[in-house]
Amino acid sequence: MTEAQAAESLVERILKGDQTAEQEMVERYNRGVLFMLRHRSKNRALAEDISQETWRIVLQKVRAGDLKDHSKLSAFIVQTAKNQLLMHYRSSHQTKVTLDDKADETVDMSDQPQQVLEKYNLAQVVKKLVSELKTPRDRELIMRFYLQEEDKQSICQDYQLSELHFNRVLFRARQRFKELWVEHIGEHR
Amino acid sequence: MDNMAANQQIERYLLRQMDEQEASEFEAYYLSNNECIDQLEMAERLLEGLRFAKDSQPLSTPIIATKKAANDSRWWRKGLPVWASAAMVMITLFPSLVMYNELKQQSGPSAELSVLSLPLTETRSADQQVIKVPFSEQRMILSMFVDTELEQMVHPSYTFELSAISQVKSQNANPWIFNQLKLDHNDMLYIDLGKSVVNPGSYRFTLLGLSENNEKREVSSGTVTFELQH
Repeated sequence: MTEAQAAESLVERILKGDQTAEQEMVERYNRGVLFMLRHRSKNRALAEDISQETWRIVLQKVRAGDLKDHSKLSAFIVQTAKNQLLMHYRSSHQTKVTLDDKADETVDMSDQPQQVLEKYNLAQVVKKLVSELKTPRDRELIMRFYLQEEDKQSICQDYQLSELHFNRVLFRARQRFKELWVEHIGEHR
Repeated sequence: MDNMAANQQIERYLLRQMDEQEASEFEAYYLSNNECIDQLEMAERLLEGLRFAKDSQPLSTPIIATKKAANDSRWWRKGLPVWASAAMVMITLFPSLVMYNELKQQSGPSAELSVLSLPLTETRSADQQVIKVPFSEQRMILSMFVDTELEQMVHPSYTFELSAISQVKSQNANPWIFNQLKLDHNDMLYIDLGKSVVNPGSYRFTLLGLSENNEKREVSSGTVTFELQH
C-alpha cells in the first residue's frame, strides 16, 4: 500500500468515527512529527509540547472533514506542526511571562549538564569512529562535507567523482558510521 | 521519491540547505517513513558529533575580554541611546567545564561534569571586561542577553558571526556562522564555540536578527578578544 493509499484509508476510517484509526494515525506519523519539530526548533522539550498541540488540531480538523485531499495527510500534518511552532514563537515573543507562568514554561534541556555530558560523550565516540574509518577518502569526504560544509561539486571535482558516485560514497560512509556506532554503543544509544 | 533520492536529500535537509517549500515536501515524505527517519537520525548524530568533536590547538586557561565596538555599529549610527546599546547585548562567557580524559558511557549527571555560570557582565561603561576562567580544558559557550523590552531586538531567530580581525582587515574573512539561534526563556542566546576551536586573538562579532521572511537586521556588533593567561 502506498503512502497516499494508507493516508486515504486512515482519513476515511476516522471520518466514520473509528477511534483505532486515530491512534494508528498518531503512531504512524508521530516519530516523523517529533523529528521535524526538533529539527526546526532545536529544542526537544518544545518539540514534544508542540507535537501534542499539533495532534489535537489535526484530529479535530480531520474529524470535521477539513482535509479535502485525503491522500495529502502527511503534508497536512507537516503544515499544522509548522503553524503551531510559528504561533509558539510569535506568542512567546509578544507576551512577557509572569513568574507564575514561568513555572509551566518549556525549558530547552540542551543546556543542562546531563545533555552537555551526552553531547560530549557523542563527540568522543564520533571522533573515535571517524578515525577508524578504513578509507581515508571517506573520512576526508565526511569532514569536508559535514564540517566545512564544502560545496558538493567542488568535492566531486577534487575526488573525480560524479554526483551520483558522491552520493553513494556519502551513503556508504553513513552506513559505515552506523555499523561502528552500533558496535561501540549499541542500537539504542 | 525513492530511497536513493531521499538519501541524497538527507544532508541537504540537515545542513538546512533546502528552501522552505523543499524542506516541507521532504518532511511530508519522511513523516511516515521509518527507514528515512533512521537515516536522518544517524546522519544528524554524525553531524552533531563531528561538530562537537572538532578541535584545533588547545586554548589553555584563557582570559576573555569583551569590548563593545559601538562607534561603528549600524544601529548606533541610527541614533539609539547609549543605555539602549549597552542593555541590548551583554556578552559574557559561560564556560561549561567538561573535564574528561577518557570516554565515559554513562548518560546520567556526573560529578566530573562541572558547569560554571559566571554573572552576566554589562559592557555599559567599561571599555573592557575581563573574566578569568580557572580551568585549562573547557568548552566555550558564549551567552548573550537580548533585551526583548526593545521591540527592534525581537526576532524569531538570530544569526551570530565571528571573524578574526586579521581576516577582516585583509578582506579574507572566513567567519564562523551560527544560524537559527533562538532565545531561551530568559531571553538568552547561547553559542557553543566548542572546545579549543578558538585561537587567541581579536574577533569581530555580529549578531543579526532574522525576520520571518529571512530579512536580516543587525542587532549588535563589536569585538571580543581571546587571550591566553600566562
